[in-house]
Amino acid sequence: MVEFQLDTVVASGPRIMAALGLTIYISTVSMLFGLAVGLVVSLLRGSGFQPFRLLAVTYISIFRGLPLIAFLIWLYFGVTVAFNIQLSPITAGIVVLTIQSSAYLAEIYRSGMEAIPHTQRQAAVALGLSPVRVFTDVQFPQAVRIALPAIGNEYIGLVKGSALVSVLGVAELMRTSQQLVQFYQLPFEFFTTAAVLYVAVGVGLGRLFRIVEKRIRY
Amino acid sequence: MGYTPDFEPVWRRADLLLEGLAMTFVLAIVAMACAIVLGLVIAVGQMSSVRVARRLATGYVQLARGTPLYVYIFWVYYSLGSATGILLTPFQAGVFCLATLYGAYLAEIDRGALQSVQREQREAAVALGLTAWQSFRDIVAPQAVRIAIPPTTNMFAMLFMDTSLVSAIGALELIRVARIGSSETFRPFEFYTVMGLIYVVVVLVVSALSAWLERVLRYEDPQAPQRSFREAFLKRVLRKPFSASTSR
Repeated sequence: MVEFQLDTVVASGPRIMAALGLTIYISTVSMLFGLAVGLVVSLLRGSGFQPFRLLAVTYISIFRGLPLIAFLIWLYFGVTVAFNIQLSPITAGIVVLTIQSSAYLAEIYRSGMEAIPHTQRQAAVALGLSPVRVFTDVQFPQAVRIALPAIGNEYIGLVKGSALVSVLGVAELMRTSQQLVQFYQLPFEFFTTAAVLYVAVGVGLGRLFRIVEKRIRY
Repeated sequence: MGYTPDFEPVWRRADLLLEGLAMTFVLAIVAMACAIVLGLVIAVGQMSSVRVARRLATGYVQLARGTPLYVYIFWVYYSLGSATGILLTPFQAGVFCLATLYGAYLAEIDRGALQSVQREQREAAVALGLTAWQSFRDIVAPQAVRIAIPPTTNMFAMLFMDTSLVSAIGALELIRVARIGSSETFRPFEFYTVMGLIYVVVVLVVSALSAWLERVLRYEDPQAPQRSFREAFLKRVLRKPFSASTSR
């Protein structure tokens, strides 16, 4: 058993931290886009117009059944060649993570909406609120509260999933760790560091979301 | 520009894709079998009356759920070998990683299923003079299995998707094989599209199976009117083809 070369890891600290920053940037941007797109998809899913509903169900089924890595490779190495699109690896990564998280988030929103008692909507309508305001002022705020734990899990999942963007050559945490492993020939040290950082970010985000949940509870 | 997709090279190398698909299935099934056994052991540990076992099992589940599979695969494949001298093939490393992570997810399902069998059931069994083992085997286990099967099937769909990550260390599964095919024929778009479709179809079929099992295996009150098999199938599979899953 060889000794853990902590010095080398510490010496690469700034580079690892920059890479961790990129990991958080990619997952946060994808999460924000995913929240918006997911909302649209879930509204289509719940609309009274059947073609919209069908479209949303198809979207959700396809992108939840497609492994992230397969989606990344398909978009970045397949679609760009076929349609002659110029796409930077980071953009491709964000697009893929956004689409996939939106499919999951659409389902999360829906289960949140379904958990609100029907009487809430009826009461809002009886009070003379317009359909838009029934949604924005009555249903949505309650649904978000119910869905918050699942949304937090999705965010943590995105941080973990962003490691796959390394396949496209984006120098986020995973890719940078791989480069450092190759340079120093210390796989145990750098992969362990990466794993610890991912777990730490996940635990930290979990804590953060629990605090937010407590704050906005009725 | 104007690109005309040509799927002919894909059909010509269908053997390659089928080989990859077969490997993906073998990987998924072997890993799932190991994960089921491990999951049961952990679930029993979590519910054990021995405090150390409970702590260990709970800690394991928490750690495993926080670990990103992709990083874990690299860690096991590259660094465990250099640190301990154990050299695994990509297949073995893939099975190990998938089984150990999914074991933790399945443990939660098993624990939930065992705990959801009502206590009165066990008490009634004891009152009838059954031994602890008999009551577990004849009363608790059959009911828990019914509850656990649908989410476990759904987990298999997730595990099937996650076998794609093992491609990163060189296992010749679907992704790897599609990359080989596309570089051989210069038809990446076609190969990757077919590859993606295969994943989507398999996952949808397994998810539909899970939803169907959920309907079929649900315990019905003997006094309640029985729903026919066909009716249950139509209702579940055709109207709700994709059940909401909880894991990611």
